Amino acid sequence: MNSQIAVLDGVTKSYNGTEVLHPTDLGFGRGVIGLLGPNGAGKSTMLRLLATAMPPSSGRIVVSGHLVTGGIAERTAARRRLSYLPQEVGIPRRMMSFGFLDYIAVLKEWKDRDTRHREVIRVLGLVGLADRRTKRVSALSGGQRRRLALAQALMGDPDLVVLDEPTTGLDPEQRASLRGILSSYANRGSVLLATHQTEDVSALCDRVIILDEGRIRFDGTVAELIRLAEGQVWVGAEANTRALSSWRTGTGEIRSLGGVPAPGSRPADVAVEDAYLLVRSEITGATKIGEVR
Amino acid sequence: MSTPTDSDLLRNIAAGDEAALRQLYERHAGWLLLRLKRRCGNPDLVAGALQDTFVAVWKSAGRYRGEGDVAAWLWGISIRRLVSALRGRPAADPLGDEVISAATPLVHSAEDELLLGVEYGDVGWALRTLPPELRATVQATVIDGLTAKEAAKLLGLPQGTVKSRLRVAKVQLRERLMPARDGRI
Amino acid sequence: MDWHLGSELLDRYVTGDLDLARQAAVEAHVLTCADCQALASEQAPQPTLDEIWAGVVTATARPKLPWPLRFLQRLGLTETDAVILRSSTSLYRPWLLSLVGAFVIGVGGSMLSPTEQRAFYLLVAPLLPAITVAAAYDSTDPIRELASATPFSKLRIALLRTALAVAVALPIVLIAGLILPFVGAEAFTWLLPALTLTLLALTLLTWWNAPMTAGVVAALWLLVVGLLRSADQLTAVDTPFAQLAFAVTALLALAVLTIRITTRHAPGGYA
Repeated sequence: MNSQIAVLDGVTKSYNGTEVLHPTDLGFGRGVIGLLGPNGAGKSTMLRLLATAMPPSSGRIVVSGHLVTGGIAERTAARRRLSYLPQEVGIPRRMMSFGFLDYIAVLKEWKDRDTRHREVIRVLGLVGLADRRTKRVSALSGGQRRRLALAQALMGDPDLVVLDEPTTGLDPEQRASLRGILSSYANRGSVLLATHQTEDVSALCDRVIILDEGRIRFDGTVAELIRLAEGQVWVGAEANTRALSSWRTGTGEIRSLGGVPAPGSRPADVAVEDAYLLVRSEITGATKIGEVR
Repeated sequence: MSTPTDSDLLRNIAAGDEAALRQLYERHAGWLLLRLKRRCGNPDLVAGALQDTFVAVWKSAGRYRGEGDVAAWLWGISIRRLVSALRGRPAADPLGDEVISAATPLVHSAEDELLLGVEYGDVGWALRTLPPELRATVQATVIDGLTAKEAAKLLGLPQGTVKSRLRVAKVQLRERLMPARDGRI
Repeated sequence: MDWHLGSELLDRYVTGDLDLARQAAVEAHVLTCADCQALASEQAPQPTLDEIWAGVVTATARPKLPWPLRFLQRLGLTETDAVILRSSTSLYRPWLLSLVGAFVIGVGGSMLSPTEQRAFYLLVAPLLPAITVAAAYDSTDPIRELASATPFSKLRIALLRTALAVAVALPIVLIAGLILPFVGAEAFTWLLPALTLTLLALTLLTWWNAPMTAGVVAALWLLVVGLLRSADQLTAVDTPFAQLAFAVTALLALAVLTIRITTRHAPGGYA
């Protein structure tokens, strides 16, 4: 287990008696790990626990060799090695972009002013906000605010980068550039991201974890996930009423997923999205997607 | 899309456009750096003066009156930042109003006109014949547009010395230029 | 333009190999010719220019610390602590709160009967520092989740904010107490209760959010003052016994706060 950067060991989390994360054992090594699941599946809870933003109800969490569920000194040591982007960051509106990052950098113990300011400028450049450094948060667009929040998670050289929906609010170019940045962090450490974008997972992730109602439903490589759906995705000319889900694609053909293939249709290449939908339908026992949940 | 002029950039900077500041820097920082290096041998002081110049531009671009050359305006700020750095004042000291307004473009005096136009002309010859200490004084006052007080600080001389050297230099220049002129007419 | 700078001339300019007249001619030409500005700029060392640009970027973006913080820095406040104070409570907020508080005491107090006036001062004055501290936490509450996951000591943040709130609120309320004609001995009596309430607020912040905490502390103090007032025992606050009780409560709150922080619960987040 030496190569594990973060470990969950029998970790649970309950709010007011409701268990939102059932006992979970997971280890995270180097690379990008994608967390998929519907809203309320427990993705954010798991990320918050790993980021030491809240304590678990039970179990042990280890980050960079430090037991974060132990004493405050261990937790502080772990916090020096991780960075975190929460799902929602309500940056105070009167703060300046630079001032906000400067504040977070101080919280991250960047003591020397000049080094700290260089780092702030560097991450502002990474998220494409170098030209917005003197702007107040109230003058930034929603997407820019999101990128500003993301910038603080890119500071320094963390072992564990925990990102809750980092690609929301990014346009395709920005998303592509973020992928490049994240893969460079993943060479050195573990990057965990929760997302609704299955393209992010196929483009970026070495490993996928699907969560539902606080339980792990799938844990494997992207290739393994796709293999689950092989032979269950077809394209054809005719509508398919007996599929789990079917839709008309941009080419005018009908793509269908699960169930019984329509006559005359042929097998299609499986995308992560297809596999994810199939895994979800198995969990919920749905015979039609859309009836899910 | 046409390239913005320097004045356009200053207007945008005054409106808080950081990209415009970057553009202005890319256009002018290089030659400003070279020219400052010709005035001061300490690279740290030169770098500090150049940084202060663009910080001052950011803070007070709105005070540029739109008369004359932006390049000359920038040089006026730079050389004065250098002078005040030499004065031993903290480099972070914000630029006062008096410095900004004094940094408006150089007025092209008769002497300047002569210098500007001709590279190998009479003035060049006349300047070359000046003793070195007079040359430095002429450079600081006539070419850089500094006041006698500022020139004194740049050159590390008492103000009175600068004034008297300038007087001597002007007399010598006039003497050397007059016969040449007369000869031509 | 008749002529442009040649590379040989430019090289000689850069190395300082030109006499004054030629140097002046080069400089005068560069001032007026954009092409030669670009040409000359290519001769300048790019790493130096990049370094200076980085300096420009930080110097233009760096928010200037308000003068009270710069003053405190001269007295030994570290730069990072100053950033914590600047970002968490824009300084003028405690100022404003305290001034408004002092104003309320003055105006509100002058409309009341003499006995009520004293009760009123005693009610409002000690609450101001506590509410100021709560306000500091309220302003950073939207990023508490983010802040929790950072290594900076939460206890240090709490103490910094408290010190600042007290430093700002105390002189204002004290001066108001000394100036207002209807305030007598209470002008000093409130100091210890103020400390107690502030520490209590910090301790409660380890459980609740800022508005809740401020509300509970205010309600509690209203109850104490109200009871004393109805028993006609307001002057009791000034007795050694009462002051001792405040001191003990303050120490208790401090002890609980320390325990809370060392067992994962900091004001405004997970310790």
